Amino acid sequence: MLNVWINYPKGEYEDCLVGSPDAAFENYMDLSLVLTDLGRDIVKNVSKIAEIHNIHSYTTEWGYDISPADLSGGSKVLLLMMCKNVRDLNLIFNYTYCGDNCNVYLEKLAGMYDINIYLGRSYVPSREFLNKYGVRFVETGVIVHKVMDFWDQVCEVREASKV
Amino acid sequence: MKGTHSFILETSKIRYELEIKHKFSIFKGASGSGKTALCQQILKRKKDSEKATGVRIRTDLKYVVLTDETLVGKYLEQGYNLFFIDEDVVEEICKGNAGATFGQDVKGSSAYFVFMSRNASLSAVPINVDACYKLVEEYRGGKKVVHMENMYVWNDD
Repeated sequence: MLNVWINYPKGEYEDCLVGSPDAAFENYMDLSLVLTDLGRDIVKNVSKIAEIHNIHSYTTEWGYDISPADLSGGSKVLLLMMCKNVRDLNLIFNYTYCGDNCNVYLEKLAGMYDINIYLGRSYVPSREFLNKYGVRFVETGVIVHKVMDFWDQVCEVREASKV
Repeated sequence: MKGTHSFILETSKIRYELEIKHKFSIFKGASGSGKTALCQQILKRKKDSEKATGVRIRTDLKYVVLTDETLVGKYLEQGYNLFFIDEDVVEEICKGNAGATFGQDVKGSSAYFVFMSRNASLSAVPINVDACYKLVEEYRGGKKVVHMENMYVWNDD
C-alpha cells in the first residue's frame, strides 16, 4: 500500500521523515539488495549505471566508476524502500528527491510493501496502480482507487490544512 | 544584474554548459540527471585551485553553492551574484512559509538563484515557467556534455 502525506508530517511523525536520503542510505542501506533484479533495475535506470561490478562499485553509462554514495537521490530513496529494517522503522520518504523516472519503481515497491511518502512534488499514480492497490491518504485515512478521487483528496487535504 | 550569463564547468569527464538569464531558475527533471553532481563539483572547486582540482569554471558571475540558507544575506554583502541551491537547502527554505522568508531576504538583490529541486511548495519565490529547466546530456568530443532545456515547451497553436 502506498501511504501518502500531503502536508509536512508533524508531531510524532516528524522524526520519521527522511528529509534527505544520504545519511539514511549510508547508515541503513543493505547493499546486497542492489544485486537483486529490482535493485539492479533501479540502479541502472534511475542512476544511469551501465555495469554493477559488486555492491561497492559501479560504472556509469558514461564510463565513470562510482560508489554507492554517488548514486542519485532517487535511487537511494527507492533502494531504502527495499530494506526491511528501514520499513520496520515506519520512515516517511520525501518524494521530492525522486523524479518521474522513479514513479514506476515506487509503484512496484508499494505493490509489495507498505510505503510511506511525503508528497512534496506533483505526482499522480498510474491508473493501473490505483485500480489494483489504491493509495491511502494518511491525514484523512481515505483510500482512493481512481485518478480523479486522488486529485480530489489532494485538494481537500491541502484546503483543510489552510484552515 | 541583467542579461544572459554563461556558466561553464568542465572536468576531464564532464562539461556543464549553462545559460543563466532569470533571477530565479529551477532545475527539475529526472533523478540522475546531474543536478546534485553539478553542485558537488562547484564545492570541490571552491576548496582548492583549478590546477589542484582539475575543475575549470568560466563565468563572469561570482558564484557560490549555498549550503545554509541563513547565510544568503552575508554572501550577498560579499558580492556573490550567482547562487546554486541544492535540494537539501531548498527543503529548509520551503519549511513553514514556502520560501517567503528567503524571498524577502533576496528581494531587491540583483543576484541570480538556481534551485535544484522538484519541491512544489517553493511557491513564495516567483519562478517563471520559462525558468523551469531540465538537464540534458549528450556525448560530444569524448566527453559527457550537460546543458539545460526548458521543462515546459509552449506550442504556438
